[in-house]
Order: sequence, then C-alpha cells, then structure tokens
Amino acid sequence: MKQLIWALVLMGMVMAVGAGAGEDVRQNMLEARYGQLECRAAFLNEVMDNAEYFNPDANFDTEREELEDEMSALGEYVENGDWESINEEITDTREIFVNALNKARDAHREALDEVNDSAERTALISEMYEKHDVAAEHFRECSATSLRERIVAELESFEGWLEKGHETAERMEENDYDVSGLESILAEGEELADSLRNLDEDTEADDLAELRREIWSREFYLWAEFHVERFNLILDRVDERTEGEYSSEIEGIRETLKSALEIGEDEEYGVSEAAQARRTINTAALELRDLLDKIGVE
Amino acid sequence: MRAEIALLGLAILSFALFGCSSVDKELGTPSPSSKSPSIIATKAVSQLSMSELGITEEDLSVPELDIDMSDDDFSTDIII
Repeated sequence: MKQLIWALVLMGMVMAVGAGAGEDVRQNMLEARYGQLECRAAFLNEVMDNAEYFNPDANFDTEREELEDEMSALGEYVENGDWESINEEITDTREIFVNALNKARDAHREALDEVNDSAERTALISEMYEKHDVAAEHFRECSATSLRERIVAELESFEGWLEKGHETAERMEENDYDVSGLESILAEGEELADSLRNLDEDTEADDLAELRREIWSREFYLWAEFHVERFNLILDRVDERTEGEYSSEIEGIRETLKSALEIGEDEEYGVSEAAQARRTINTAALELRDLLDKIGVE
Repeated sequence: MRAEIALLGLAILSFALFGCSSVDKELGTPSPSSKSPSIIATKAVSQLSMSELGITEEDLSVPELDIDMSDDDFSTDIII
C-alpha cells in the first residue's frame, strides 16, 4: 500500500514538473518577444532624441511617458505570463510607435523648413539621415540578437510538439496503428527544427525574420496535417470495428478533417489559418466523440 | 408423435439457449446460432471500448497551438 502511495506521489510530481516545463517554454517565448519590443522602444527613443536635437522646439515628453507606461505594462504581463493581455496591449503599443515616429518625422521637416539656403538644406538632410541610420543600425543589431533569442525559445516549443508527436505515434504503433504517415510528417518537422538550430551567426535581422516566418508557416501546416492523420487513423479503426455500420458518420468527420488542410492556397499556414485549422480539427474531434458516444464506446 | 413433437420442441429450445450463451462468450464472433447477424453485430459493437480502439481520452482532444507570430512589420524608415 505504501509503495502505491509513493508511486502516485511520484507520478504527481513528474506530471507537475512536466506541466511546469511547458509553462517555462511559453514564458521564455514571452520574454524573448518582450526583448524585441525593447529594441523597438530603444529605437523610438533614439529617433525622438534626434528630432529634438534638430528641432529644439519639438517636445516628446508625452510620447516618452506613454512609451514608458506601455513597456511597463507589457513587462508586468510578461512577468505574469499573461499572453492574452500582451496580445491586446501590443495593438496599443503599435499605435504609440506609429504616432511617435510620425511626430518625429514632422519635427525633422519643420527643422528643414527653417533653412532656406539650398546647400545648407542638403547638408542638413544628409546629417539627419546619417543620425537616423545610426539609430536604425542600433535597432537592427538589437533586433537580430532578440530575434535569435526568440527563435531559441520558440525552438523549445517546436521541439516539444515534435516530442509529443513521436510519443503519440509510438503509443499508437503499440496499439497496431500504421503510423508511417505520422512519422513522415514528424520527419519533416525535425528537418525544419534543424534549420532553426543551425542558423548562420551572420544572418541579419530581416533575413532571420523572413526565415522564421517561412519555417513557422510550414510548421503550422505540419501540425494540422499530423492531427488530421491521427484522427483519420482512429476513424479507420472505428470503421473497421463497427463493420461499416457508421460509415456515413465517419465520412462526415473525414470531410471536416479534410477541410482543415484546405484553408488558403498552399501548404503553409499563417497565424489565422493555423487557428482556423485548429478550430476545424477540434470540431472533428467533437464529432468523433459524439459518434463514439452513439456507438456506446466507453 | 406427441413425444416426437415434444422432443423437437425441446431440441429447438436447447439450441436457442445454447446460441445465446455462445454469443455471450465470444464477443464480436457470431456463432452459428439462432440470433440474426444484425443483432450479433450490434452486440459486438456495443462491446467496443476505448482500450479496444487503442486510444485514450487524450487522443480525442486537440492540443493548443502556441501561436505567437507577432512579427508585425516594424519599419525603421522615416522619410524626411
């Protein structure tokens, strides 16, 4: 009896650690994302400094305060692991960035308008762009670093779903499912993960961002494909064991699953497409649950 | 004659009873009994369990997707 209790306690601890590890991965992703936002805030502050340098009459106290409050709020959400609030707040932050940049641009232009001499104007414009380019370069360096950190954090999440995928495939294989389709999908996922692991150190921020976007787009589609394949395997088994008595219902669920892979025009999914795919697969899962209840499976 | 009819009735009854118990014992495997195939199939299907399908409750769920592609374009361009 004591052994059973200890086994249960140990199992609970393992599950808690497992759940904690998942939360750590999400937290790392959040912190890396915040790091990128800090790069943007630093760039914006530098641009406002430049605007005030060229146009002493310009005043950005309000914008600086707004930016500080915004970053502070975001920082708290990150600390609390609050994904939803961060996503909502990002929209407000974007507006602050755009407004401040526009005001900085206007302050530069006002400064130029004060200069009538053509040669002086040309020199001033050149100086303005030079200082701006310095700020932009600082941003690119900061952004490349923070983006790499974000990719590392996301890779953990990526590897997590691949690992879970392999466990699922293994378990299904032990129950005599043909998991070759699942393994093929996971193999491509592993290749994508490898390309993220082996990024060239000299890759610049824009190229990093593009590569990341491409890989995630394909990964989202693979994720959907994996779960569609998984549910189709279960449907095959149900169909076989019920000797075709529920073929019509099963076919209906297959159609739902199929539609999850036909969102958009290609086999790469953006954020909204991936979310729609998940909702569709979830609908199919609920339909399957209803069918199993109808059959009397417990 | 009456004895023969009685014996025949007893044989039929015994056969029917024997058929019930053979289906009870061999789940999903219809025995050559007096039960109709559709009743045998229904009885076999209702015996289906999650473990027989080789799945768990978790297999009927769809995990959350950690979607965080907030790579909203941020331009550093400022046209002066």
